[in-house]
Amino acid sequence: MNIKKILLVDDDFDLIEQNKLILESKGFEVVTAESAEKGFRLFEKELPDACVVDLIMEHHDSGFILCYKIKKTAHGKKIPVIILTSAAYETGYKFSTSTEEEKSWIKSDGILNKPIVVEELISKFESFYNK
Amino acid sequence: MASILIIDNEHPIRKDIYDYLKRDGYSITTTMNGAEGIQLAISNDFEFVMIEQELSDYNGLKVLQSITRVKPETACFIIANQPSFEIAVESANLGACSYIPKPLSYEGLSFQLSKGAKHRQLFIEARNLRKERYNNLLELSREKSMFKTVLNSINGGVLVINSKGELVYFNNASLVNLNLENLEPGEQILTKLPKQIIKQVSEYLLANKYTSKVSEIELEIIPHNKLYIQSVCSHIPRSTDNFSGVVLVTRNITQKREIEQVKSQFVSMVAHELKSPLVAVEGFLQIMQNPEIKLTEEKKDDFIKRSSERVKSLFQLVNDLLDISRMDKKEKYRELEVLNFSEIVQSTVSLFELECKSKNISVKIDAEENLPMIKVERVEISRVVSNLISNAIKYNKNDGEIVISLSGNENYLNFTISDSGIGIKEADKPKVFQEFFRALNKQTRNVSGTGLGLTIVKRIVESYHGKIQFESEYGIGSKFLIKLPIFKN
Repeated sequence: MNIKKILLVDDDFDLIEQNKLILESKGFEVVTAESAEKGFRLFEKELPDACVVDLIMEHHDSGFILCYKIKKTAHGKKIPVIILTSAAYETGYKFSTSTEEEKSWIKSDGILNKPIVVEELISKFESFYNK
Repeated sequence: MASILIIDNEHPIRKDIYDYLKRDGYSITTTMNGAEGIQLAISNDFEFVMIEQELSDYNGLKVLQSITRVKPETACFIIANQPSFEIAVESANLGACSYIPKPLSYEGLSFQLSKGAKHRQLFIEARNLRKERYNNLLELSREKSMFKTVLNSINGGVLVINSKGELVYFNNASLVNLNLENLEPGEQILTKLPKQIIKQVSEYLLANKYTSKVSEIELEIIPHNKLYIQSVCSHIPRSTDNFSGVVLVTRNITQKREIEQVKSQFVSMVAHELKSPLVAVEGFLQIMQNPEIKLTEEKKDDFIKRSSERVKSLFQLVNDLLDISRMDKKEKYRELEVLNFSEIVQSTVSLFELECKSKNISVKIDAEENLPMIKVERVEISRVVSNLISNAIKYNKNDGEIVISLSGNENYLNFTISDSGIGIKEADKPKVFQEFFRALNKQTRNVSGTGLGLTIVKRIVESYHGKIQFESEYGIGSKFLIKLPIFKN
């Protein structure tokens, strides 16, 4: 695993700053965007080694759509894209990548709950590269 | 007393026979004329009529025919001077119950009369049974048509399937609920039904014995929430442990489901909105405790301030949510007062003095004199005003202005509030009153809010049969207009 640059997309400015600080403290270079639309533009420009994407931004499914768009690109296929959300099971939004059906439309390489736990995130990155 | 009519050319009967019959209780009428015989037979109720085969004015068979046509219950006999097989057959065909050759004997006559009495009785019984059957059929068909009308009038679909899987009955609603064009009674129905219902019905059809258990499923008939039904299947009992088929009752539950979905979506959104500020505060706390992250004192202060902002917004959100949940019930328990709206506006504006000062925003109130009064609950209407003023300040520029104007006409009191703020983008306009909607852009990034303020305003205004509208130009400002029905004495 050789991840240097991470793209962080979240519409919560506090969380962007926090996660940026955390990831930078672990030695990553972090580029950020506050909407899915800007996130994709930044992805194309920066070609990061990993993406961490919020789910509910402009729309309820912005994160899913951004994942899908990233994963359709040649570069996107080579890197892990993780969804980071507070809209997990306990909030009633029912999704995971545990079933085949969900895997078929959720293009992320993992879903993590907010707040971020760096060790969990890095282990998701690792399992992607060890596949 | 049984009565006999005798139609004969000759003196019809020997004196001794006549006497015997009299003794047996018969009343006897005689005539020698065919026409008169017919008349007598039709206008009276003779149990027995004896007709001479050859009358002077009529053929006896003609007389027989005329009588049996009108009084088929009468037991008629043809009396023949010269018996012939053909005449016997013909008279039987015309309804005679017997053919009696002359000369008549008491024994012979007595036997024929008792046979005729039976004939007559059977005929009357048969006729009564026919009548009864006809009435029963009529009642049945009335019941059937009532049953059909009732079943076609009810909202639910009713579909009856026999144990062979053939369609026995269906009503209109079942066609609608199952989205079927047409069905034919008697056809194999299962293949036409949706898969889940086939499974549901099959379990009942293949059962070994009758069960009183009912199976209930909910399924989608037309995708994208266009048609969603509940299907309830149960056995139709034949005896205590046997069944003759199943009845399938379907109900359109699309609307109910939509409400459920909106509800669950709302709960999900609330949960998400509650969790977001907590996550942010938790994040700030963790970072400040993280030895790997070095923060300047200034940054720490900034984080503490931002955490406190997020906690405040959480409080605000909880209050807004409580307001929304109370609102439906509240309508019934409102404490209505007749109020001067202008006073409410004045006092609410004064509450925001500090905020206006910090952004150097000027507030101008332009109120007509002698404004009509309104009958509202003070707390609610203050909430409307304060939510709108708060927005006008929050989304305003520094050194901006707010203009409030109040006017009235014979029906409505108009309240408008315009600001010189950031305005609303075209794309965001349809979502302005939507729960939890907050326009996100550079200008709003530092503005805290719950996304419920305008939802609450709209709900309160509409609950008083008022109206709310807005105009806005991105970068220039927004103007909200509220119309409230005035209080009339």
